[in-house]
Amino acid sequence: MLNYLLRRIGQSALTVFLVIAVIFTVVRAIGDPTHLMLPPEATEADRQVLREQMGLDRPLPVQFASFVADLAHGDFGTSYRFSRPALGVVAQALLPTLLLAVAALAVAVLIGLPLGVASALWPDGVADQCARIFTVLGQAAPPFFFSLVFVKVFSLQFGWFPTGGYGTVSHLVLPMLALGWYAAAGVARLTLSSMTTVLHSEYVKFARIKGVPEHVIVLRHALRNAILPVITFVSLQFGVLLGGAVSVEVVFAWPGVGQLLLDSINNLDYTVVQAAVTVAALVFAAVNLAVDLLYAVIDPRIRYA
Amino acid sequence: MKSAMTQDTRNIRRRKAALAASVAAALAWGFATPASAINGKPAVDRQTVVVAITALPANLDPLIPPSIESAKYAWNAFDSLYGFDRQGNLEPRLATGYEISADGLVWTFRLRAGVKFHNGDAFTADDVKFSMDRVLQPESKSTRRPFFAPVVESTTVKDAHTVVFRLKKKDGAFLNKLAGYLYVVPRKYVQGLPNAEAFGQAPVGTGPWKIVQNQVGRELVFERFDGFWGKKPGVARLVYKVIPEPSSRASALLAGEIDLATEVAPTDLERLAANKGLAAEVVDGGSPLHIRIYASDPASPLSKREVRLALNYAVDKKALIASVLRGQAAELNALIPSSYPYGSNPALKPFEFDAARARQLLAQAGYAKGFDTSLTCPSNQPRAICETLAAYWGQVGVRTQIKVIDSIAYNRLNNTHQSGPLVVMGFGNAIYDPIHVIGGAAIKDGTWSDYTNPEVEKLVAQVDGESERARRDAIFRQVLQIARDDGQAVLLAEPKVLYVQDPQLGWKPQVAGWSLNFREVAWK
Repeated sequence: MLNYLLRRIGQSALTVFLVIAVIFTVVRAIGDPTHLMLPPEATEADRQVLREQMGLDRPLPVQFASFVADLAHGDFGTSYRFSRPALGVVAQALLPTLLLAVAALAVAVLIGLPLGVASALWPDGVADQCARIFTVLGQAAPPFFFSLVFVKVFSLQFGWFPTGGYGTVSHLVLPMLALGWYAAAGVARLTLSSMTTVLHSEYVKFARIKGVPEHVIVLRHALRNAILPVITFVSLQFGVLLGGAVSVEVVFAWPGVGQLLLDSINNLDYTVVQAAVTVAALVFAAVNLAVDLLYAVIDPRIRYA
Repeated sequence: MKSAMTQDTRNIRRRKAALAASVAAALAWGFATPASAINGKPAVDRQTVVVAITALPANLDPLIPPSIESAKYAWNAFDSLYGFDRQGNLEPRLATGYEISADGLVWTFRLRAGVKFHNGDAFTADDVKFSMDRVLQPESKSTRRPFFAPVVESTTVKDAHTVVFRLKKKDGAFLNKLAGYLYVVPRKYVQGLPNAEAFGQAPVGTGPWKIVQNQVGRELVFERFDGFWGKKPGVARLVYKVIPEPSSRASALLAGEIDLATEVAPTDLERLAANKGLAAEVVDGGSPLHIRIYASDPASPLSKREVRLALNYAVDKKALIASVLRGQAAELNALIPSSYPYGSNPALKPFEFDAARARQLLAQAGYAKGFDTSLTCPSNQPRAICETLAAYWGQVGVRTQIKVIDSIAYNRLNNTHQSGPLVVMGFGNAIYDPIHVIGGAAIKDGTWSDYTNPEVEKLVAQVDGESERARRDAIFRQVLQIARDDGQAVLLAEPKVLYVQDPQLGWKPQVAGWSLNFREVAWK
């Protein structure tokens, strides 16, 4: 187990390093920030002075080496736009995004899982019918569409929630639902099909013949087996939600990392882009690692040597 | 057979569900009309004004980031020696007057007495010198350095309330540059900070508003500065709320969460204008939307005056304004729009739409059969502008290929003469003097210029040494006349800037600029 853990951590570290190398090269390929930092009246000499100050005149491998060396001390450099350490800028925006993604994931699991189980238990029942409308809507419409509809209905028409912003629970409700609906639909569909297969399996039939109470069959025998693919799906959805949060963040003026990343790319604020992508890669790697470990806990058949 | 049937019924059921879903969505979209009128109901209270803006300045130091960023807040928290009124006319702020030496190289400013910074420090000539020196030092990485470094030789403190700028060469727009670019920061306070960057986190100025809270990406909160030297604002608090998406700004307005929305989209304006509880403020934006022409290559058809004029005549600008720009733009008769405080030329007529004349001009130039060219569109401009132009030009035989490029790449290419042959362009201007636009786009050494005209060169050299406004005005008028008749650019429109507010607020926006001025804001 420990061996496996170390190997997986090693793999994750390598992935994160590759991501850092790629993003470092790509942001520098997009353009020269001195054109954005200085007014057009600036001469090429003015821009050259700035390039030297920022270290952009050095060869790319040298820049990368010094970047990695600083990174070893947790130093992502200073954002030219904010005149502050890039990591601090990213951290400030990361918290709202993580909050939104986790809340949306909670919505997905809390709504999607029971809905999927109910549909599997009573096919064509009321729950199944509702689930179908719910999932079709959720998968067909993108989160920003729900965002706009929710604002129209729940903010402007009923006045229940603010149209946007950040700070209180009421600010979180609409963006969380708008973002979570899509994932909830996926969770419900997958739970339905996974549960249906399991419920028709021999061992469930056998348990029924044995006279095991239905709720024990559903919760202990069926769901525990059916939930494995759902866990994989949910862990992948976490990444999708982090990325998908951008459109929801924009509509609800949610001060997240998506908007920050977009602005930073548009302003060629290298250090912030690098810090944001690195942190995102770390979050992804950590989630994937956690899920792999969770497997081992839930499914006794999976034992890592 | 049975399974096929269930499959079919499932499909039908699924389709029904999809239908129900889209109907539900359509209903939700349709029935929602905002409930309450906003009129007279402040978002917070009558001592607070809440303003929605697209983005907060990343760095609150008023001397380092680009002027377009500081325009959003610097006028409220800081002062310059002279400032601009709502129309862009100069008015004294930290200075009470100035004298220019006979050779035009020594500018002596008398400073206002009794002015205090937000931290209680007294304002003196020392602070003016410190601010200018700070801009000029390359280590400061100030975006304003290129405006002053070629001109300013030295700044000296004559006494506590007199400061003298000695120039390397005459600069007729020097006062405008001081007003638009040089905000005065407190020397003692800045030097007492652990590093220069720290000033952006805790800025201190002499303006009517002091910054009390900055939540990056969310909110910027100002409090009225009771020690302000001039007329104080009529409310105690000013809150900037970041709402990047235009339709979300409109929603926040309808929900009564904000008192004023800036940069409203024309589509939202139509929706908001229907609401009686809201008032729109539409002002001329001051940015000439035009097509930059790479005219300097003699082998290109664009080097011929007739061709450039033909491109102007071939386009129905009124139709472009009405449809693509949704009517929210004025016609453009020259590179300097009429909303400028001086330097525009009201006598000039916009080019009328005359395809026959365009064809005739092309034939005169030897292009009766037209020619092939391309039009570069930055991704932040409506693509429909380019499509419309290509269609009109196509009708007179000019076959135009549209190239949409990312706005970052556009910036770099357009500032280094590589975006041609035809390019969509606009201009911001923080100093209200036409030289920024004319010097940039119509003379040989201009950053965005691929156009040379000896007459224009002579006039611009003349205007550089002329600081008297009426004479500058007269010279710029001549320049515009020459440039227009020479087809220096394809003139399209002057887009408007739209604001919507609670009518009880009655705030007036800045004409021909993006600066947000809340120095005298008050509820009615």
